Amino acid sequence: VFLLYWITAFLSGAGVLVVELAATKSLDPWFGQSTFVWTNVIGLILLGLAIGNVAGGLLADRTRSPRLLGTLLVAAALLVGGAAWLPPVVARLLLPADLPLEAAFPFLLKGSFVAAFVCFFPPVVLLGAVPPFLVRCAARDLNEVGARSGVLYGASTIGSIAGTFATTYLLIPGLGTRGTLYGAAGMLAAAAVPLFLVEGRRAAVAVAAMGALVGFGVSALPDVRAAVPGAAIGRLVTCRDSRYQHLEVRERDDLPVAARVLALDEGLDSYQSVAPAQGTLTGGLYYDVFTMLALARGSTGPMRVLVLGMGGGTHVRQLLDVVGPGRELAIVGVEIDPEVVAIGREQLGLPEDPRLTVVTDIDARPFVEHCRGPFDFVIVDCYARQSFLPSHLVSREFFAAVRRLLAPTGEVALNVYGYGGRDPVVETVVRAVHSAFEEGVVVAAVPGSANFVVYAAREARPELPAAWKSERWPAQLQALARSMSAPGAAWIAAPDPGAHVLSDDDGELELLQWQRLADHARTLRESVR
Amino acid sequence: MQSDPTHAAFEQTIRESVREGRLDEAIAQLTRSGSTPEDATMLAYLCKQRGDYERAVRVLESVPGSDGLDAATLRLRGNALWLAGRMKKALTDLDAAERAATNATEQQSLHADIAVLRDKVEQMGRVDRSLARLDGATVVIAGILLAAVVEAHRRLFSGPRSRSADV
Repeated sequence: VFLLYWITAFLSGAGVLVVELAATKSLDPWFGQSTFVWTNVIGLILLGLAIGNVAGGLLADRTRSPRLLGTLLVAAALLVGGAAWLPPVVARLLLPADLPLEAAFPFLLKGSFVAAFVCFFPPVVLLGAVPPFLVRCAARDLNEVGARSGVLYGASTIGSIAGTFATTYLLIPGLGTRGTLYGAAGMLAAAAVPLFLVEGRRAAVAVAAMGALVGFGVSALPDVRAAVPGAAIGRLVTCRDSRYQHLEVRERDDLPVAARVLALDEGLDSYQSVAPAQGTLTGGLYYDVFTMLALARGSTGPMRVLVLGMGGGTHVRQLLDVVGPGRELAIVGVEIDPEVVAIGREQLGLPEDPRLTVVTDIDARPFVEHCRGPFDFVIVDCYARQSFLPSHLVSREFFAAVRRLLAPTGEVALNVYGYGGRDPVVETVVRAVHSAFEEGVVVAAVPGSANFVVYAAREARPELPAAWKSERWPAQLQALARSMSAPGAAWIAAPDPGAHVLSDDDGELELLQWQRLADHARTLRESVR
Repeated sequence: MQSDPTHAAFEQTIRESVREGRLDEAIAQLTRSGSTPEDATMLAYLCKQRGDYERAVRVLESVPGSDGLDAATLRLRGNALWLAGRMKKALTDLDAAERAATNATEQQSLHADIAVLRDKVEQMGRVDRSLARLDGATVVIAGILLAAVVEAHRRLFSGPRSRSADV
């Protein structure tokens, strides 16, 4: 019988960690997977366990009943099964239908807390009640309480470890997030079966066994394995979960050109890649500026381009389409998430082209450190978790490495999102670029958007947009070049010798990005009161 | 009105700085030596371009006679307020700019901007109301959690209970 309790402790411990990891993944399409979401989920799970431990201990003092323990497990299984379909319902109640990303910060922060509480707190409280109850059931004498509770808590922890690895490496990739939760529900119901058997409760055995079969059966259904669409706007084309993030392709007609876009995680109204319905130019979005910079380098001779953060291939398609016909072109596109490339090929027109080499499953930083180059033009468009610049891809060390990759006349250009040129994130990134490109850095505001294209050259200060010779460019790009040539629309970043430059060791950028999102969201809300 | 050659040279210097991309330098020069309402408008415009929206608004508000600004300056201030995220105030300025606009093209363009901004203001109103509900839910949940923790500890430490050696 003690082995039975050991197995129960193991399975309930595994159940807690399966729920915890699947919880974050379940909330990802609406609330993202930022540190705040993880903190809310982990905090609530631990609190649920603590409260469950206390409640279970109090309950165990009153009765020593394997049947009650089995009932706890069946109830937890039901709640875990419920948690598999609850997050979309709760998220839709919490997030306004037309919530823009710029106002979303408090919704992501508090909404993930409320959603985690509603969906995942109750089953964890029940699972938290299991270990003290098991100790009470398993210990026959006060003298063996220490040893038996130690073994059972050890079993629970080993179960948690097994649950952690199984969830990440087997369950979520194989069954999807909902399937994983249904599977966990089946496992918990199955754990209750022998507990009921010990007491000869046939009806309860039947119910628990049926619950286990339903849980395991539902977890294997193809529909359950599929990703659930999140809060991105536009008509859904397809969605899926990758190892790194939640991906959605949506059709949007509210952009300068009708297009399919790739939205990630808590993207809401923002997007990572754009595939226009007609042609490859995006009607003045920042992607077009990179193509203009490539065109501004002249129209003859070979060009070697490195695109860091290729996404679904917006830059690449434009370069092949607009720059490619006039000159010899070789592009290397680096994208960490192979699913993004797959979805780019399937839905966003990313071509198989002999001029394009795609590299996946590697972060842009180690690629830059180990790649030999040289490149004539390097595009850096590396955003993680939809709207966050990873520090290690905008540090002085990173830009020094990029500089080493450039040909003598090479240029680097990067996309930075910000609420104005004085946005602390924009200024921090510009300082980091400047530290590696002292000849001069140009900051160009992209008209009608919150994007800035920051660019620099290895040997000389690059030209301002007003100096671009755009007469032979496509009409869309000529119009954009005129807008960007307005007085003050682009400027040379002034050196700031005393200012702190972002390095690999700094955690400053993450905080700055959160702070400005919080500040901007507050300003917007207060402005309409 | 007679033009001031010194001031014309100053304006030329500013224009050159801007054309050459030395925006911060132009802003510093105008801040230091700008003397006319036109200089203030130019300074506000450059601050807006540079992304210093609040400063652009402050500059325009400090211009003598800023109560009776022309359509272009009202639009500049309205746009700076909009970019700074202060949407209701921006709407007031853009409405005033539309009323003060003297040509139809300008009026149409302002009308379109105002329609977009009005939608945005309404959207933010909805967002604000939703957030108030979410705040309420968060407080209730935090209260439940706190009460649960307090109750658990009260029960655990509410006094010695008799226990037998047999568990």
